Amino acid sequence: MTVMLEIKNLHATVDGREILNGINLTIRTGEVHAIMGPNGSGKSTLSYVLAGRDGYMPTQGSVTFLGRDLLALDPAERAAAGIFLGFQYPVEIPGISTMNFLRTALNAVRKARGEAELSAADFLKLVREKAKTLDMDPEMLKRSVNVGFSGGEKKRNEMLQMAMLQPRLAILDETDSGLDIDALKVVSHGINALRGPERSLLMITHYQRLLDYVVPDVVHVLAKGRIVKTGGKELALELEREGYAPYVGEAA
Amino acid sequence: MKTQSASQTNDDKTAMFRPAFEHMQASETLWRRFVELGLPARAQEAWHYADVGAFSRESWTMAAPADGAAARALLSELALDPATSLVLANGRVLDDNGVEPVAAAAAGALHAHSLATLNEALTPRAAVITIAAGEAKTLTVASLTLPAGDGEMAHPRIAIKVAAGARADLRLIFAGSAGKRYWSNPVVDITLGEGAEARLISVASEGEQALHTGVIAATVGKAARFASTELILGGRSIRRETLVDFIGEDGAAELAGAYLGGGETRIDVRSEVSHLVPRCRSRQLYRGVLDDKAFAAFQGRVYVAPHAQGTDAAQSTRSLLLQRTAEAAAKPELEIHADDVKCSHGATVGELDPDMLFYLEARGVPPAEARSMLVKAFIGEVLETISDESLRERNIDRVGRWMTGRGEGA
Ligand SMILES: Nc1ncnc2c1ncn2[C@@H]1O[C@H](COP(=O)(O)OP(=O)(O)O)[C@@H](O)[C@H]1O
Ligand SMILES: [Mg+2]
Repeated sequence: MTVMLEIKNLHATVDGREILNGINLTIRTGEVHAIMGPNGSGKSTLSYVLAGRDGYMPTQGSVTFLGRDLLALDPAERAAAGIFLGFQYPVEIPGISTMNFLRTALNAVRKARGEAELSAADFLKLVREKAKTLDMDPEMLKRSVNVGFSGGEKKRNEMLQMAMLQPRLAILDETDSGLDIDALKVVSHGINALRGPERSLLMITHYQRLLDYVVPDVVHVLAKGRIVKTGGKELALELEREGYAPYVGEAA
Repeated sequence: MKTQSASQTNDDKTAMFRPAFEHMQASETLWRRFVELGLPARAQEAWHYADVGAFSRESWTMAAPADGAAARALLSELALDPATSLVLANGRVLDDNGVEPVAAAAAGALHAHSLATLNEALTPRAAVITIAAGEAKTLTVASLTLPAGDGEMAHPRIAIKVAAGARADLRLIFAGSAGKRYWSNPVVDITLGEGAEARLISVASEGEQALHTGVIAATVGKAARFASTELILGGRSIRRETLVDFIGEDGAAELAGAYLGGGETRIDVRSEVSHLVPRCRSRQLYRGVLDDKAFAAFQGRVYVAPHAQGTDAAQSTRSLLLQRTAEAAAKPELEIHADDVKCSHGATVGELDPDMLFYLEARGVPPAEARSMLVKAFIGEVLETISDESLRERNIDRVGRWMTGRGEGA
């Protein structure tokens, strides 16, 4: 399998404070990785650094994505290159309809990838089809992005965006948080639908629950900005049983 | 005293307009009224944020009748059809489409208004649009200023009479020559009879060197409804003023405005809603977007007379600064003399939300386009008041082009 993402000795600061302390991580094409860790360990920070958010400053190390220097690209270029970040807290945007948001995003990404824009009819057909697999009411797409959506609806909306953009690497930050069991099943179904030999997944989660539905190949434990343990899917169960207490101490 | 010295200076400056009065053979009565009012001064509350220096910065001369071909060229640039529009060029009716210019005095509310007096004196014949009782009419009015050189002014005057139960849908566009220093001082005087309805959509898209001082004065009769939406996005110095007088009970006024300024543009938006009778309802919604070193002020005055019980007035103004060098001011003025009244106002100034920008960019939308989308969303509430979909889309496109012109958006 070829390497999709290679993170070497990544350090990053937020507000001048070092949050990531030398991360090493290799994800091969087709693999599903999970990163677990206590609150405040730097999981979201890692996802933001990979997506290119302002204020999350890489200070050392490198990130190579499909052979390219990921850190040299702006967020939109990363999205076009095939990175997708599923937000822990999806942002509300009053005044922009979900439909308009999806169409603009999809066409921008297609344009950057050298593909033709979708016709209005083809777009509509595609979005309806994807919304249906996620149990989303098409009426919701007329509403402003995430405004007035429940926690579950917001996460489904993230999955819809992912399904539309068809990324090569999806980084999903606590996509399971705030979901009841039915919503969790729908969302897991959305994630599994994306899995394939050409795509990879990096799932960030605090709990093991999601990993029952989307079974990872590799599980990492992140503590104090560093990967302190790597194992198979059984590591998630171990963490569930024993908690994060040993890691909080160890990395100190 | 301060006010005295201000009016002193202005007395002197009115003399600069004497040649224009003589050239137009304007009425001596109006000349005396103009001199008595003086040119606007900062010390006057209503002109606090106005670019008052601009009126006397040069000796303005009246623009001569415009060349029809130049006017038509500008119309086609604006994608307007001369066959269905009333076209005023340099304040004179060019394509009348059935609208006769007739001598008409300004409404009472404008008598104390110095620039409206100047307008009335220098353009004695207004373009009068009359909509008879029970009828409905849709009309586009283009007011173009096409000067021969710098330092020319035009005073377009449009009077609209909407009779009882009639309905008017009017689209107004103010535009002019790019690159010329001209002054357009249009007055729109509208009267609504009992149960009448008027909806105005005005676009001020003047040349980038232009000075614009426009006023819309609406006199709203019993149970009548006046709705005005403005989009301001072109000119060097622009003042737009909307004056509403409720003279019959149960009237309604909905004012909405979006103003966009970049470079060193100066925008001064003022509204004055006078609840003179009981149970009228007014709504005001203003949104400003400012870039570079632009400055904009919104001044919204609501007056509630002692007997105007049951008044319901609300005002909201928000500004978005695209750069920290831009500046916005908001000043609500409430003068309430009745006790059974609902009055609210709110004002905020902010910047583009970095979380929203990042969310859009993370989905592949390039930064400039993301900013443009958020600006359109910010003034969306104002543009949504335009019920005609194709007209709304055209104005959204105008905003998009404005952003592109600022080096933003696609
Ligand atoms: N925008 C920010 N400003 C300041 N500190 C931040 C910011 N984001 C994260 N941090 C800090 O970075 C550390 C890691 O946070 P985060 O990456 O959100 O952890 P996790 O997602 O694992 O819970 C925490 O100490 C948090 O307080
Ligand atoms: Mg987190």
